[in-house]
Amino acid sequence: MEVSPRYLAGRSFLGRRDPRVLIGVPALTVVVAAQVEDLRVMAALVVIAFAYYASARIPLREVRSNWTFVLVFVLIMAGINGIIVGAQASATSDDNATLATIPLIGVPVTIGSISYATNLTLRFLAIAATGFPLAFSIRPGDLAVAFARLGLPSRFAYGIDLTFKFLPSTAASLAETIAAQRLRGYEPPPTHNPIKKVLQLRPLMVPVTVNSFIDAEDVVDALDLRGFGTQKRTWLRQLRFGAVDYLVVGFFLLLALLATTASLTGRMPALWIF
Amino acid sequence: MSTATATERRNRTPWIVSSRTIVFGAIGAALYGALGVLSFIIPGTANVAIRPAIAIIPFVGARFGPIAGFFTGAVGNALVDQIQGFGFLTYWNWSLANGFIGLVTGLIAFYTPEPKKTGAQILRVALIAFVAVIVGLLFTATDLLLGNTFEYWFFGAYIPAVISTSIAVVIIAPVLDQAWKPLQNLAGR
Amino acid sequence: MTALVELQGVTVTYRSAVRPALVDATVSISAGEIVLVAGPSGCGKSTLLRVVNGLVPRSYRAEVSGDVLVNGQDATAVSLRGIADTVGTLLQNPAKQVVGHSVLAELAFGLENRGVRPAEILSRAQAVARRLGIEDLLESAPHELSGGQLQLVAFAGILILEPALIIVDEPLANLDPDASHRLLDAVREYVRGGGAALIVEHRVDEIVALAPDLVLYLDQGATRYSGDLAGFLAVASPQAVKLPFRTLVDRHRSEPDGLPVVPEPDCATAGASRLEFVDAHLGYGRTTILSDVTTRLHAGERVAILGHNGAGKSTLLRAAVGLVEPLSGEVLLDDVPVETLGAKDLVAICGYLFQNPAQALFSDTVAAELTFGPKNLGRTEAETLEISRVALEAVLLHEEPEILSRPPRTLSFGQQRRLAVALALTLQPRTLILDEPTAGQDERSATHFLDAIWDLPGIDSIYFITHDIDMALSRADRVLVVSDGCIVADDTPAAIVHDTGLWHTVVGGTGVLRETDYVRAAREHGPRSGRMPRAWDLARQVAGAPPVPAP
Ligand SMILES: Nc1ncnc2c1ncn2[C@@H]1O[C@H](COP(=O)(O)OP(=O)(O)OP(=O)(O)O)[C@@H](O)[C@H]1O
Ligand SMILES: Nc1ncnc2c1ncn2[C@@H]1O[C@H](COP(=O)(O)OP(=O)(O)OP(=O)(O)O)[C@@H](O)[C@H]1O
Ligand SMILES: [Mg+2]
Ligand SMILES: [Mg+2]
Repeated sequence: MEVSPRYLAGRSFLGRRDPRVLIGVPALTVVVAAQVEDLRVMAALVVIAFAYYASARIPLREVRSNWTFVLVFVLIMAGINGIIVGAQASATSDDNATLATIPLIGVPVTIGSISYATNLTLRFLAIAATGFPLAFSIRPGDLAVAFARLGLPSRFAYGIDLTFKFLPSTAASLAETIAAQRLRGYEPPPTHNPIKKVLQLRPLMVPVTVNSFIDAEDVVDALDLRGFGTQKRTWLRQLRFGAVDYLVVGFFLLLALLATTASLTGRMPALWIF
Repeated sequence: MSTATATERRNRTPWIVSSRTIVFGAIGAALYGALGVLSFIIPGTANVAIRPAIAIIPFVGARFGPIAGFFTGAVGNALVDQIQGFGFLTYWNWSLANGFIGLVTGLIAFYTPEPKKTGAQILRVALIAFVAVIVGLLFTATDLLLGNTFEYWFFGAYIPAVISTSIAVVIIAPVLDQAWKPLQNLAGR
Repeated sequence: MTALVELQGVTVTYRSAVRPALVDATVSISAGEIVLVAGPSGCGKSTLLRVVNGLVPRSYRAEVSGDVLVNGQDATAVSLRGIADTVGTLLQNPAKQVVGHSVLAELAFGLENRGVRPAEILSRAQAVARRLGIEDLLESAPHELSGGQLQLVAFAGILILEPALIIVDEPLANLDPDASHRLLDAVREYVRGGGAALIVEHRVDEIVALAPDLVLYLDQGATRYSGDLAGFLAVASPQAVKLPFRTLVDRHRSEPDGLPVVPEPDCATAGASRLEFVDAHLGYGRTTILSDVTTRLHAGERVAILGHNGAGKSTLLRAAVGLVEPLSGEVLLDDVPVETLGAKDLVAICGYLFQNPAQALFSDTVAAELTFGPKNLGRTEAETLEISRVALEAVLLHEEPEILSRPPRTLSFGQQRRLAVALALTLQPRTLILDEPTAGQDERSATHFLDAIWDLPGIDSIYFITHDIDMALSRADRVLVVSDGCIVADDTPAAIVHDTGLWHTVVGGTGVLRETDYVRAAREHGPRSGRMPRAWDLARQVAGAPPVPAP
């Protein structure tokens, strides 16, 4: 597993956007995707989401394993959900043509359950496609400022900065502790018992955690001694929300408004609700 | 001296936010992220991972308060999502659910006095953390908003998450808590 | 002119302590002054600083009596933030106080909290970075910096706030002599520009160049001496603080201790090869830190490793126990490649003492901590108990009351260090590897600690890293100097001292190591071969010899 955030967007279109755009767009995408039920509309949304993703120019080889993970997860989730829906449909309605029956469990596969599973897959792909730029196209140092500008109290926003600061040092301290315990002959025997496995981690988790929190007192003093949280703070990093940023966010905002209005007025096309 | 009263005041409400709250929350979140490498898949299951680092959340909640606990859970989980590439909004509800684990632990711990006996202390932390996991993860019911069926959410997501999380939390949170206890006077000034 | 900060008869007792940590302290600092606070470990130095910057009693729970005035005003009424406007503090460990995710963010932090405009923050950050010579680091993340760079960055983070008084707590621990020099230069510049400084440091010999206006010498919380530098040098105990070599000589001249000059034992003769590097390239990921390392450390040897911050000393010895895998070439322990050794075989050959002793402490009690290693090796209960007892005695911790049932982390820092050695001993290794064993300890603790380790039964060889040149020359049979990606020197202490190309002085020269008075005296009066005498013994010898004109 990776332990540190990566910045992969370079000078691409999204790499040059205000970080608030990269936070706003996936949030709005979640709102839109949650309401779209028609497969054709969903397909359009996926195209839009991937166009957005492409504009970040994240090199595929850097994120291949991340995409594999997402795909496997989404397919399993959509597949199982589809099976459940198929089972329910066969019990409650009979105007759905059964295309086949899954062997062993005897659950019917219907047009409804397939379109449902497809829709769910596309929905999560659209969300993930806007989520990837959020992960890889914001410099970690910009997140805190973005949150502060979005209205999070600046002390909490700075907490996010601190988290990013502590992450590499904590990872280093874990590596050091693993080494130190190995040099005391710590080589836990392999086991299949999950409880034993968790217990074996005690010699690693306890020192790393306890050391971090003991050091915390000095960090608190260091913050206080430099006037942390006593008055309104400024941020060295200045964010500028430009015309293009307005356009991008405005577009997704428009989609969200359209989807919400359509849902509220009952005009959202439905394909797979039974 | 004026500080003595300041400390006692700090203890009267669980909602005080000071530099310590922020720092402890941030350290907790970083620990959650960094110790995440120690996760493993429960043998025999496809993808039910046990993430012992999750025990950091109730530990921070119980020792340093609900706000720090919430911060650790929410930011910690969001951080892991950022690192893995999904962005913190894809599973935003799971991040908040993790936050609520810390928040609930912090609140219950605040209102239940610590017993004297070591055995009872261990039991208390384990129980509080367990309850917090059950309650906190209920928030993932928001998965339904994204079109998941109730059955899938309950049997496919909630229950496995409760099981794997509680295994880690019930074992490790009391261990961390006991390790911290003799040190709190030393560090806790 | 009112003093910036004034303490009058201040006594501090921490809530959890019985004895006051600081007794009746009186000091006053005005603009343009440098005050040095010195004394053995635990004498109350940091406590004094915490009173001045307001952390006692605002962050530490403590009873404080006496008067504290900041800018002539009673400090009890002033908030921490208010005091911080006048007083900037560099805490004891810079790694903990750097809070930015990058160097630039770290410099900006204090000004951001004060609501300063971004444009102004940037220009001030650049100015300070230029002043300390860290412009190139502005974009770096703190965890990529070496110890010395980190210290400078933390210092810059305070300097940028332009406090009237700057407080520095042991800034030199972990710094190589050149980095120390740079940091002290920055302090001097700052005071010359109208600031004031309050410095705590054991390494008095290096502070002397700053010519402090006032020295406060504390012992067990009480002020033993308060006055000018010359007076301090006359009364300070050479066991408590590291005094300049010249002062040691003067001491012997004025009050000879009458002990005979004993020649140092010869260097140990080398036994079988213990640790061997064959054409090894060491580094992390794609960066090579050390290339073409080919050398052999033998059983029976005490080897010191010297070099600048970030030169690769830790990397070299970490490779010895497989913590760093060689990028190419081989690292052999007892003629077997390290990476093929299982944890159990490895620990039987080598014990490793990390710089932070708490790195591995996790048990509820010292007893449980001690048995962890032997149990891993499959020893029986009875054997384990016996091994633990012996190990604890070897580091003299057995005299501590109730030691076995105490949580390890509640021991003092020095005790934790000794416990860490005991833990290594429970595995019964033949070699000990020590990474900066004396950093941040006072003279007395350092000496006792090393004496104890040097006499341990069963340990035949010791390989150690240090920035303390005097210590290396007087304790080792052999010295390796690491610089510019390779081992640039490898010889006996005497040969190293006489290899003038290796050394440089404050004024000039291109050598790797910084020449001290001790080194000059050792060259002049020390033995031609083998080990060098300890500073105190060499000073005795020099004092007996006809006076030499100062270089
Ligand atoms: N938070 C605390 N609670 C109780 N006692 C403390 C606390 N901090 C320090 N002390 C005690 O007060 C005394 C003075 O400690 P202080 O840290 O001022 O020493 P120091 O001179 O800075 O030592 P060192 O050189 O090791 O840093 C010591 O006996 C120490 O154990
Ligand atoms: N885990 C790591 N990953 C990448 N680079 C590292 C790592 N550890 C150390 N380095 C780099 O390797 C170089 C040598 O580091 P090392 O710790 O060996 O130095 P050192 O001689 O021990 O210095 P010091 O006296 O400051 O302890 C430094 O430039 C450091 O930045
Ligand atoms: Mg101190
Ligand atoms: Mg080192």
